[in-house]
Amino acid sequence: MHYVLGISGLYHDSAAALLGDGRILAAVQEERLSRRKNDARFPERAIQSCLDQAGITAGDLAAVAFYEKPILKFSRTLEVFLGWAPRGGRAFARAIPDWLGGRLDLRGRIRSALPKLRVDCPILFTTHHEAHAASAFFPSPFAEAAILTVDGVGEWATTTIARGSGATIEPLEEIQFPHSLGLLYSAFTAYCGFRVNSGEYKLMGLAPYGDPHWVETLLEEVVSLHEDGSFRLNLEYLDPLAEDHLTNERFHDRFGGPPRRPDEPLEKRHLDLARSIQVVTERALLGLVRRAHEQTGSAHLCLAGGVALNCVANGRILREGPFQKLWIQPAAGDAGAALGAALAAWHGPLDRGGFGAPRIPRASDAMGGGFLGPEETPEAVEASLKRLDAVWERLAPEVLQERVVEALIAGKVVGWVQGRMEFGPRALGHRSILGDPRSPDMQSRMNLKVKFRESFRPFAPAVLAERSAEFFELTGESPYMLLVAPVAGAQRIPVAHEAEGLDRLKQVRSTLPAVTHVDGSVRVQTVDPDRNPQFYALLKHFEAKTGCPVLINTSFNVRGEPVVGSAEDAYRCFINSQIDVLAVGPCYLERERQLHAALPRSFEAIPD
Amino acid sequence: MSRPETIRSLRDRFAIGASLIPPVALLMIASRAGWVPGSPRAYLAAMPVVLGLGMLFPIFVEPWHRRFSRMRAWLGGRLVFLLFLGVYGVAVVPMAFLMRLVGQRPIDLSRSGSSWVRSKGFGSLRDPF
Repeated sequence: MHYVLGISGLYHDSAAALLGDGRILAAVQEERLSRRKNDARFPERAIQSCLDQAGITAGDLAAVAFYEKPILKFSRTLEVFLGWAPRGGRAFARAIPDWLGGRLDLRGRIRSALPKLRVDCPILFTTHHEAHAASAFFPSPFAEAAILTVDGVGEWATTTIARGSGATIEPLEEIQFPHSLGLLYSAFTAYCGFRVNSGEYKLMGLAPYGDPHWVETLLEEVVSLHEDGSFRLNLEYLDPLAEDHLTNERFHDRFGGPPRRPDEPLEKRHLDLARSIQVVTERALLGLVRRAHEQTGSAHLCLAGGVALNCVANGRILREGPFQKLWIQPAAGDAGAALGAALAAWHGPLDRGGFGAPRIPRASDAMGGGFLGPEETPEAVEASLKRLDAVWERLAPEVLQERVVEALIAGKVVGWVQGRMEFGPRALGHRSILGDPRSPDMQSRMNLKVKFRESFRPFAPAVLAERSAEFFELTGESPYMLLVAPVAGAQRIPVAHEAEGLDRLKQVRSTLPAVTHVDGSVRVQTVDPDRNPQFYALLKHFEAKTGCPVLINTSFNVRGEPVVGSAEDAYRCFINSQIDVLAVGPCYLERERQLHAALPRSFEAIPD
Repeated sequence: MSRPETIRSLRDRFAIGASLIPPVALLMIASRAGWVPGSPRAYLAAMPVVLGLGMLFPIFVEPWHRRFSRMRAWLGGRLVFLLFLGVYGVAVVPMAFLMRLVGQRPIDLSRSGSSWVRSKGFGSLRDPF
């Protein structure tokens, strides 16, 4: 078997992925193992985990592929400083030593991290957006498709359109730095007091609370959208090289004050800005999608890049865009580019240094439900729990599900750790915290007492795929929780008097209040028995007892923590939060029976 | 090597002992200038002692090793920062102005017209450029 290892990292969200004869065997984010959220360090643990899952060593690898061309990126970095001078001195003094300290010599770095790598094993380099495009198209179910990648910046490109056909990706057009939707969204993320490269989804969650007052101002002064789908940023308002935030004084004067600090309260203008930038982003993305359709004439669209994690915009692309079908890489950010790099090397033509392997698309997709990480055996789980002095019962799978469903119906919050770990930012029912979505106070309870995070953030529902249409206005499936759709009319509850700002959170708007956002939308995960059999069976049990085929599904972590990986991580998180019940592998644990009231946490908390 | 449990090899032990020598050397220089008590010879004699302590009892010496490593990294980071800030002022800024004088600007800051650029292809997978 030919094994190809893909690596991404050294910027944010490092990851590794492993292919065996083109099949995706494993993919892991470094943060899940290092316990540092968005870990940017070289992904040594993730690489080892991938090799271990396949039962091989680095000596068995046929190629290693990195997700960027480091020298091209370095030259762009220098050119940007030349273009931006005399501003940017501090950023230069921080960035360049980092480059000279090892980011340029990636071959050397990879070989020193993998001493068993054969001398003749090639180390290959894709471009950043080629890796994104490959991660979007090759695992998709489409034989041919338009491919749109949108993120902060790669080498020069920030947005690309390509055509995928068979095992070939043909790049067509790109928009280059500094004109970047990802950069623009991140600038507003930082301005509203959230952390760049991880707080963008908080801004998206905040948007429905605000009014789009600033849309016209933004379009006139900060970003211009053109008829052909392209866009340009006005750099008089933005500072792409600033270290702490990406906006300048002129921006602050125009939008009502200095950037919000994370500990300051959210004001109405932050809500309005969040809404406005969301509206602008959606318009820009719809323009890009129309352009991709014009350029390729395809009926299918594949999406990747960090901006493709904007599931509100994705929902609009599906509903209002010209494409009949849409497939989004579940790890659309830089972590997924590790997988893309490996796939680009595997299917890449021989004259470019690839393996030239053909591709046969699968009926669903090639992501295996996104469950590509490590899994602990029941014995290993019990050994971990024993070491931590936990009190547990080992149960048969049916009994375990029965007990979990009973706990959920009793209004308890359940930690659910089963099977292989997810790859990508979303917990899809293998490392999840679950709750009953019919309870009106469940959202604030889970946000404040369990996850210790902002109360405004909505939770996502996991629904049995076959009953999704009864609850949500969603055409097709959403197995990776990447689409937002309105609650179906029959489930809506009219609100007599609409409250203002964050007070809107307390109003019940549907039969599933805990997962319904203030604008009546939900971020849906459809669960089917092929991709996700264990979680499907649990939902079926819950449906049989309650008639409701929906559960709250949120990632198993607390604020500042990466999603839990091992049974030990899960137990520590369980003890240190207000989760009532933990089901990890075959083991069932109840909070009141545990000996510990608190445990040292296993992660390095990253502030917002 | 930041935690005691990672001390495995003789090399780790040597690194811990050796990391304590520069602070002792600094004390020796300071004692020569009269800034700290003790004779320079005593500090010189202490150097092999701390090296030996580090190698024989790394667990006890390791907290100091970590503290000094952090201080060294902090100091080194600041010196490198100042050095590259100087490079920016002396080399990058003048070059940038020179380029602008001859009508070149590496980044496109214009606000009008389409920003689409025809793709030049992905290039060889073998090249990091």
